[in-house]
Amino acid sequence: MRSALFHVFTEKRAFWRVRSFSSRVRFLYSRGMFGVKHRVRESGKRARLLLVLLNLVLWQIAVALAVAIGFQWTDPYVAPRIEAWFGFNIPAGEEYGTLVATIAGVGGVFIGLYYAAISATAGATYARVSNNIRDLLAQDLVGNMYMRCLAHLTSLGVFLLSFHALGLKPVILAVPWLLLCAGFSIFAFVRLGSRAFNLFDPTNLSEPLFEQLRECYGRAQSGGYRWSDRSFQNHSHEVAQTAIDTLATLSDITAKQPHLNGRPFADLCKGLLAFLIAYEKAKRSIPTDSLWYEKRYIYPDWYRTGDTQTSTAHQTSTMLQPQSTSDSRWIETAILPIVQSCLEINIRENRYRIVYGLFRYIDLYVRCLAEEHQVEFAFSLMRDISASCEKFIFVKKEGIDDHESLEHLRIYDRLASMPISTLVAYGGTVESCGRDTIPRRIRRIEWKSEKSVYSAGFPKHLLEHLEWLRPRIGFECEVEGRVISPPWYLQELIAQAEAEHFTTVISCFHNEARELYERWSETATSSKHSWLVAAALSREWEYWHKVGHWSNALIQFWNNLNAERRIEGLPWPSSSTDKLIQKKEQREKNILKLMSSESLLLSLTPRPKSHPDFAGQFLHTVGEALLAAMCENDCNTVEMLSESYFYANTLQYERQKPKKEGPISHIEHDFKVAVAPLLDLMDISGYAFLMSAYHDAPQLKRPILKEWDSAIGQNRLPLKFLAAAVYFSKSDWGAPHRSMNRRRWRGTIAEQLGDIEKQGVLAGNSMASETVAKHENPLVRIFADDTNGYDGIDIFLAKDIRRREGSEDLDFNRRRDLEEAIKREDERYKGKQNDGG
Amino acid sequence: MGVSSRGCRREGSPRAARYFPSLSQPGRYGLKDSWFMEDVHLGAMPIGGRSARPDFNVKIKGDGKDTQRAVAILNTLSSYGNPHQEKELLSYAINEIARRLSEKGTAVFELVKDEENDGSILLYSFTSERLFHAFGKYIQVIPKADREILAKAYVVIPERDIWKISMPDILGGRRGYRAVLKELCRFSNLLPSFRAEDLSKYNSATDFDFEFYRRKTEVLCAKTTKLWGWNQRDYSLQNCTEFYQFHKSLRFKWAQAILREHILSELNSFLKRIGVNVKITVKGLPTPSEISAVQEEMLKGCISFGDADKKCSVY
Repeated sequence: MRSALFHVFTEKRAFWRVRSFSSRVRFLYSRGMFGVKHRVRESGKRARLLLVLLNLVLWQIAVALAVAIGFQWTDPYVAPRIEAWFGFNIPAGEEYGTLVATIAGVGGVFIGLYYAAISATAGATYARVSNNIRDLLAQDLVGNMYMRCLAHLTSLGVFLLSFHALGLKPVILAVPWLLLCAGFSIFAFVRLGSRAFNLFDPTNLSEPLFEQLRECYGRAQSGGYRWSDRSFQNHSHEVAQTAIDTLATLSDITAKQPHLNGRPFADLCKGLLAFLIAYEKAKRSIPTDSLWYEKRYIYPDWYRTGDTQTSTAHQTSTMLQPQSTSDSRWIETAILPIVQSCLEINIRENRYRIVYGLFRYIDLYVRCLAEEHQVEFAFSLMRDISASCEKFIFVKKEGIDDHESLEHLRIYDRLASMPISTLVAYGGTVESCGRDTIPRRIRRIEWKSEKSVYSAGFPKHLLEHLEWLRPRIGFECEVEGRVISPPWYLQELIAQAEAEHFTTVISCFHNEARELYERWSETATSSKHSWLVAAALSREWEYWHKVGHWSNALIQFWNNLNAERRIEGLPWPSSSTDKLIQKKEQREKNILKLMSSESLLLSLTPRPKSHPDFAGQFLHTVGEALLAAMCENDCNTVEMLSESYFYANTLQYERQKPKKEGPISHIEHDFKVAVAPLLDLMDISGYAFLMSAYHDAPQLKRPILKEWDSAIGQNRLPLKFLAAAVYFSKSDWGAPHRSMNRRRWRGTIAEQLGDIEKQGVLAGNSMASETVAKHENPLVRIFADDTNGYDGIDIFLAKDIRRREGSEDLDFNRRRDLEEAIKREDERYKGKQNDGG
Repeated sequence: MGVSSRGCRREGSPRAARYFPSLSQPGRYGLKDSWFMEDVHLGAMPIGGRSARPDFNVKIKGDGKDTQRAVAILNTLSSYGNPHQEKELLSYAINEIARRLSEKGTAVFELVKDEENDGSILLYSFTSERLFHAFGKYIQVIPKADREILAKAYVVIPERDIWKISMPDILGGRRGYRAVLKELCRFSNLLPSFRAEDLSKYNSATDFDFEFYRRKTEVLCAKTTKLWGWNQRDYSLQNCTEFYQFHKSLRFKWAQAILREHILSELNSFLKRIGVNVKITVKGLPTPSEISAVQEEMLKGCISFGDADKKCSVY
């Protein structure tokens, strides 16, 4: 029946006319309602402003009123006395007329004065600006509201005077009202007068523009007024476009004026970035095909287009019809260049505090982008910001710059920390997404409701897929009366889209980040800014460390997406987290190499106290990596790092060695601190012997021994000096400098040797049993017992120093000779073997 | 004129008019209803009895003479089948009966004795239009326009010389089926007639909303054929998810399985009525209950699309 009726009606032209007419009427009604609501909202705003202004001047009015009442109250008592003492005769007949005339006059004068002030401002600042900026001045809400009050006061006074002139009795009730209005006008004028000076800074007029933009995207969001109506979407876009154009003009004016392009311009940019942060979050509830977003047209390839379209185009001698796509970044494309311009101006003018403030907002925006899964755009923004800064920071130097500007270093550090912010923000977001996040959000959707998909909590990148699903599920509901596609199916479609996006994000984290850091390092290297290279390396090292930290959360997220896949043939991206971890390991090795060479370079240059000690940080990091490589039998890394580690340690000693002046106790203390790098070096060298024996890999010890041979042979590190360093390491008072670190290394070695298989044997003279590590090398067997009390320095002394010519008389201060222990262990082991055999 | 004790006509020629030329003008069917009719009968049984299902088998159980008679009857329904291949023969026969059923929701056959051969019974299919049943007789009223060509105004056939089969009640019966065809015929045109005229005159200015019309038409067609699960030959996923499309295809297979079992049951009853003591059985094809079970499994996600398709396909 329903279909029969539908068929009957749709066959008639009149039906379509009536339908079209009714939709037009609906549109006109909505447009009218929109206007009414807008006016009501504006009136509300004005009323609020009036209250604010009243609140500001209320106390002053109250005081004035109290004084007036005081006079009025004391008048009957005081007036006769004054009359008696001074002989004054106060007139009573014309008072009313004079009072009203005076108040009306005051109103008129203020109107004239206020416009005079505004004209002066406009003449000085806005004379050569476009109309849209001048309109902002004319639309100033506070000023307009004040002028309405003055107009009311003046016209009321004029009317009352006219009535009095016509012979009507004075209106007693008008007097307090006039007094109140006059009081308000006088005190408000003082406030507004001082505010008029602010109008010389046009950026103060930007707030209405932001308000307008917020209103516009609020209307485009699901649930906004007529949000799904294409005409209203387009209207919002048009209004927002005008506001953005005005903002761009405003920023142009500000940027060109030296007194405005500092803090005022930065404040405007901060406002823009704060707006973008709020807008990014709001995008979750804006339909992706909304006309709020700018439309772009993409022309298809002729040879990739279907025959029907190409045939039609050929027969009609026309082009292929372009495909329309939404540019969801049209606002950012217009706004971000303004921020970049502000950054460039302020770096160029050396206004670093302003630049740091801007960077804080940019960092917040980048975090917000990552939280909204827009990592690709975040990296693109970083590239642009980086390009803006590089022009001024990487000015090519002739030689190695000893005195790198601390401000440049800080800017560069903020820049290099942005990928970390992005990673941490994204990691936090995915960590909070459990396995049931997608099903839970899908359950929230009411498929029949147009706006439900936007309020379910899905991020923007999934909206397109939900929008694809909604009419289809709606079709099911219309036909079957219920949803047929089961939740697991919908969940898998969404999970697949999320997985695709996640792959892109991970690709950004390993490719884009690496490229950015590489570019920063290379540019800094080529322009001979070694401190900046170090800053980039330090941040990159932190970045990859954090990648390692967050990889569990990322892998968990990926596994959650991959769990319970049931749809055959659904194209699913391959795992990208494995790639990320591989890339991380590769890149870490490269960074270590760069760090080791950079550590050498920076050790050669004096470090201002205000600069971070990158040389020390890198040396420490390389030492840790060297030990780890020895434990893992990674000969290539050991070969790669050994030489520079050796020289950087010796240079570190040179930098820290004590001056000859001062009390002996101070010199001794300074010496103990200064030789810590050499003790580290000896410790690591000892472990090189041990790990070489453990892995049966002589290559592990060769590179570092080669350096020792060379240094001792050329007397750069005399044996006596080394013995003295060791001697002082066994101090009676307190732990030697960095000994905690070396003890940790000892723990790492013990953990590594803990894997050796052990066998139980009977102890020498008793029936008690003890365990012996099953390894051919006695040194390894000794260290496999973690109660042995030796460390890497002991090994190095036994295996190298004590074997050198001239070492017989050296005193190593209570350090036991490990060689003897090795011999004992060898004999004991052979004995046990013979007993066992 | 008279009939034999077995209910067959003595002479070897049918009395009923096979069709009425005046009512069979081209354009009497719309696009969607003709597609629906085609789809309903294709696949009731595997075409030519060719199926990849290993346990698919057809049996005609009875003594030798009755089996021969049954085969002869089936052979009259099958234009292509090999009488020596039971699977092939029955598949063609059931598909042919399904084809007749799909046209009007009911299929009518006159029983004719083949005097030229061994006197076996033949089934002569004719149109169910203008056929009335009263007082134990079927009366076919010939349209005026065809009376000259057919040389008669009406035909009276005794009830026992007729085998009539209708759509099963679970699929809406004859009336329900005809209602579906009627509805589909309504929405067979891409555009309303006034809009088509406009376009032919290159008049593009209009209040007509094509997108609204298309969407509504498709929803109404889908609602009309909801019981059958017919997909309107639309595989584009423009209106539905892949799951829903597959769900509908399973429902269509379920409807075809119902139709197949109904035809088989009616055929066995008919053979028994005319004294041919055989029982025709089909094994190895998905039954309606099996298809329903697969649908349930699909909803729970316990079976893949591929496996579900294999379980429910007759091919």
